[in-house]
Amino acid sequence: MSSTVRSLPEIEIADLVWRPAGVAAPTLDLRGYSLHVRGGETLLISGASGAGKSTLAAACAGLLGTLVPGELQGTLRVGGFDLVAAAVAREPGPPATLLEQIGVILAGPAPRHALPRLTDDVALALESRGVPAASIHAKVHAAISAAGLPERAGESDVDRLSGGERALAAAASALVTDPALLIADEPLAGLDETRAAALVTQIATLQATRVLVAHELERLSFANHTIHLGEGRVVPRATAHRAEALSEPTAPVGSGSAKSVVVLQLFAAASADRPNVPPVSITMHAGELALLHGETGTGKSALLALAAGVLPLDGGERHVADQVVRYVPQDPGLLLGARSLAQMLAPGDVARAEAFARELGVADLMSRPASRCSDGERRRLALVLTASQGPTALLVDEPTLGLDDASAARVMTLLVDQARAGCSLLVATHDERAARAVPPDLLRTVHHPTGTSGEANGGEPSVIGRGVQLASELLGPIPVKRLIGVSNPLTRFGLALFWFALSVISPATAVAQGAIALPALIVAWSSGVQFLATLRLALALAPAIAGLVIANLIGGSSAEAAFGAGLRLVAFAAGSLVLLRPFEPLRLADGALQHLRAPFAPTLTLLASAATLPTLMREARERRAIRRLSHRGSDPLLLADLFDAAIRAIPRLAIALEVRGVRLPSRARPASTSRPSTFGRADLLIILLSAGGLLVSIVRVLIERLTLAA
Amino acid sequence: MNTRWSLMDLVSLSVIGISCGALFAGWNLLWGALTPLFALVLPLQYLLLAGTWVIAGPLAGLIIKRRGAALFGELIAASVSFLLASQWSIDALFSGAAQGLGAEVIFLLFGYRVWGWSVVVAAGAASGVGMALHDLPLYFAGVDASYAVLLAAAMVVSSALLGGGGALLLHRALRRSGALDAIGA
Repeated sequence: MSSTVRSLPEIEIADLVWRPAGVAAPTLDLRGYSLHVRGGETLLISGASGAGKSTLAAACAGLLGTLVPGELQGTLRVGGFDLVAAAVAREPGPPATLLEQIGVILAGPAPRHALPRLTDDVALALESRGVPAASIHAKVHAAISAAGLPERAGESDVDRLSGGERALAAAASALVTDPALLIADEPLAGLDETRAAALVTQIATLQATRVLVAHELERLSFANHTIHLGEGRVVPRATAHRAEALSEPTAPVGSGSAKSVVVLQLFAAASADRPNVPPVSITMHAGELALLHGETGTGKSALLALAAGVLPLDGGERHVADQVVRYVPQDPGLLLGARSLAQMLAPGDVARAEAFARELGVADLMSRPASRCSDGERRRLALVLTASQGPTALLVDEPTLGLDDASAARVMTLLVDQARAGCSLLVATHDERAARAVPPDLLRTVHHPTGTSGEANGGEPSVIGRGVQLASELLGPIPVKRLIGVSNPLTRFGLALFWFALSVISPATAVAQGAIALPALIVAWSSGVQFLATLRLALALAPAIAGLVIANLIGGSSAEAAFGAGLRLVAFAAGSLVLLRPFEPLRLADGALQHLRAPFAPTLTLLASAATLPTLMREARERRAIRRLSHRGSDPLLLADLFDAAIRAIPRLAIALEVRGVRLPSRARPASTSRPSTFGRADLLIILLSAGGLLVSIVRVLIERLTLAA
Repeated sequence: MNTRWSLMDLVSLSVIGISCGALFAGWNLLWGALTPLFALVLPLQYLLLAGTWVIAGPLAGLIIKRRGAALFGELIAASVSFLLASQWSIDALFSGAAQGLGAEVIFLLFGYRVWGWSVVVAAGAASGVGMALHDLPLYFAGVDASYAVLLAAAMVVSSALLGGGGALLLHRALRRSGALDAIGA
């Protein structure tokens, strides 16, 4: 416990202008406005969605112009650092000493974690700051429970948590380092009342300077400075903006008989993709707006996805007559991707879409690619898209998430009008503004009981864990094998390298290659490779070997050379088995993630990026399922979708890694030598293999030359 | 500027390499399934399918535009392909190294400053040359010279068109969707 009061960073902003790369006009223009936030004070940034709030928060973290490409002008000093100079100098990231003091909560609902497992992700920030390994574990678990997450959430993957739990996870990873400057972008979005209040208390009692982006001005009234943005500029806040239309029915009640028509039914529906959500049932009637309430993590999104048919049904029933079902997910990016709204509309829906867009205030955004819009704008665009397709059942997950009061009111008015027109709506939300906006004759409240939070399941073991378990069951080395088996990885590596080199240098005759493959196979088998793995390998190789042999024979080789080429494949495969037993690469990767010690390694980035791939594939599949509902905008190739999603995940991951302090070592700040990296072996392996590959290719060419000349 | 790698560049390289690696792994399975059919006309199979394996190098170079991007992009993709599913097992790594080196050499020759379509197609062709230098002595050591030349030509042409051309098309599609602005490409 430090007894000295540390000095908290001050923030100075004056005439700040930001223009991101690829955009003609600045998205943030604060010319003529200046602000000085002293240490320990709180700055609250509010405004309509798309107004530049997240941009200003990112600027205070030093991300603009450095990590995020673009042009930054004006004055911006945070904690004594001149961030505009850093941006002009095109530095690769925010100043290292500043990053050490900062804790950043990035805005959802898009993924904002760096490592797949929650404890790893929270620990990463501590690792990067050189906190002694012994105290990391305790701090991580303290931060996770302080955020309000259950214990078992720590061991699960972040993207398997519900939307609200992910918000708490983001808060945990920012607050674990006890930052001197907290930058939080919509920290309360997606949280229910109790959790939101708890988080507000936690933030308010921090010994830090705070920069908060939020709409809930009443809850955050302790702010010393408030800046209200509109379209990138400072605008005066319209006071008393409680739209009166919220509580008055705008049209006479629809006919009573419409209410009893059942549009969609779920009975005890469950999905293997969401194992922690128990079977759910719901009935949707025409002309009604059902609000789905429930605590964070109770499986509301899962219920909506099941009802929409986007999640595969693995139990229970789903009845929907020929209805037009449309679904707006919690992350609107899943629906729109990188396209613009105009591109996704069918010609017949354009007029309706334009009318809705005008109602929601996004009329001028119809031809802008969705990836350039802010989250709130995308949410409204997604609603316009689905509403304009004339659905009879509309499922919306958090329609007002991150929207200011005016936009939220407009969104709810649109939804209420849809209900009056006879559509059946099911809306999952925490927002009390939504509840207040629906007239009682249309409203039905559904409470969702238990879900991810309530299950005493203990969490599923990770795929890697289950795979390793299965492998160890199959692999039971008998004493004989123990004699000739080789378990030391370095020895195995040496042996494998020796066999590869030998195979490459030897002539391509069946005898020679066979003589190399056989001992390699024996050692591989005795080192623990089991029958199943060998069988699988044989099956995979058989067509390859057959094809190679036939091609060689046709090309004029002797039979011996042809079979030699085929057996070379076997030799390589055997060598690989010796080098890496089944599941070993995954175990190495898992082990590396569990024992992070280095503040930076290329392998860490590689592993973190690799961990995003399954998530991206799942996202891509979800997106195709959601788009298939709308029948438009489906890409001909899953490949294009996957690449687009992968590329757009890059800035998210880079920023997530950056704010957790993962740095490239430079001469100014060399990597710490006091804690040796335990996955140096993986690094070494990759480097040696690549160098080895190059060397072998060159050596082979030389050898061929020499043997020809001789 | 071409030598300083930022965290964004590193993550870009990783993600591109890994995505391409996943593509390669799938392509390996496709290749394996089709080999018996094409065995009588293997050069044709190389002509039609081989180019996909060199996409990672030119694509990484084109997007990141830094020294070493092409080589390491291809190496990462080859590693993922090996780890996921490859009938060539560890040789996939060596093959990737040879191909990546080919692309890197072309980009180096132009000083990492020229990124027009001809340079990218040339990089693809050079990767094909790397593929030929690696594969022929290993798997086709005893064939006639004419067959070998046929194979090599098929590899180079396929790499130039499918690999270099494919990288160009992907880059253009990504640029149009605005995905590349966020990473400063």
